[in-house]
Amino acid sequence: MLAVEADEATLIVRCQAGDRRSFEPIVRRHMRAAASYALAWTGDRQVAIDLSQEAFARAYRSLGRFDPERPFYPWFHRILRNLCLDHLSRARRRVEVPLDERLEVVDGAPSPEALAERAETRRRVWAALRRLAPPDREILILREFQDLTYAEIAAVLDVPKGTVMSRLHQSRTRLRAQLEADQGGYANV
Amino acid sequence: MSEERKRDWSALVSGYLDSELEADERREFEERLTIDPELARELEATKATKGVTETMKLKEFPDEVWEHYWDGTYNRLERRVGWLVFSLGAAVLLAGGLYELAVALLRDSADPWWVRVGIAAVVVGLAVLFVSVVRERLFTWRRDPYREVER
Repeated sequence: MLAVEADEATLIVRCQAGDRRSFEPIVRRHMRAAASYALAWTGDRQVAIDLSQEAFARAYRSLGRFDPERPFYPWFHRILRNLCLDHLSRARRRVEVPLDERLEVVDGAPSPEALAERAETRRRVWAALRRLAPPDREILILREFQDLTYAEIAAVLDVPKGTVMSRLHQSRTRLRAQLEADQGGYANV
Repeated sequence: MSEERKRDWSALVSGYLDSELEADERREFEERLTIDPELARELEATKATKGVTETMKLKEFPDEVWEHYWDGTYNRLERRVGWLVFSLGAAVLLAGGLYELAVALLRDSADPWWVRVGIAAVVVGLAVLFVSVVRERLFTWRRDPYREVER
């Protein structure tokens, strides 16, 4: 477990020297966030796993050009993001995955009515998200579903924290408009 | 108050709801709320939208996914090396075979030299095209997430 405890910069230096096993703790540290992010874009668990693993593999192959003193995840995230967007543009021409397969509503023991309402909530939120432009969807995924702080989002998107705040607010406003445009508005969700 | 000024306050709404404002900003924002009903309405509307998304979360992956996740990633790293070695070996064999073929054609045939050169060019071209297509097909198939889906 020594490698797990080593800091990321040390592990990356070892990877750059050709030690593939030193990449394992890095992957384990970020795999959940990576797969979850890919799931939010693709809606398919297997595809999300494939894309996130491929992103790690590509990141490893590009580590030679990476500065170990910089945080790994924001750099890796850009690789993953490009893969997800590339996949979406290709998948759009093939199989349409039901969007509400990605979400579940946080609830206790649900009644039949609550289950029906839950399904409707999922459908409407994802329908609204789907109508948003990719930058709006992305920042909402990062904040609302991955629980990243503004500082973390700023690092991932490579923008100032103040930009995150204003962009997130604009995205929420556009999401609200989409929910309101849907039947009944979000007030009934 | 100018429209521009209103937009500035509006940009702080999400920061306020997410507890991302500095203490001074937060205090100023709360003071502003008491005299700006439009801003207060926007805050409530944004809070309602946030309330909807807060009740939802991304579906969890089964635990066994994480047990095998690194193995899958490692296999991808290894496969890359495998492909490189395979490509190198194939290139060496192909080049050797083509050399032998060219020598045989140019040395032993009774046909005119330009016929032999033409045949050699056709054979080389076909070999290159074949390898290229096979590689592309394999590469596409390996990356196709819907390969098990009936189209």
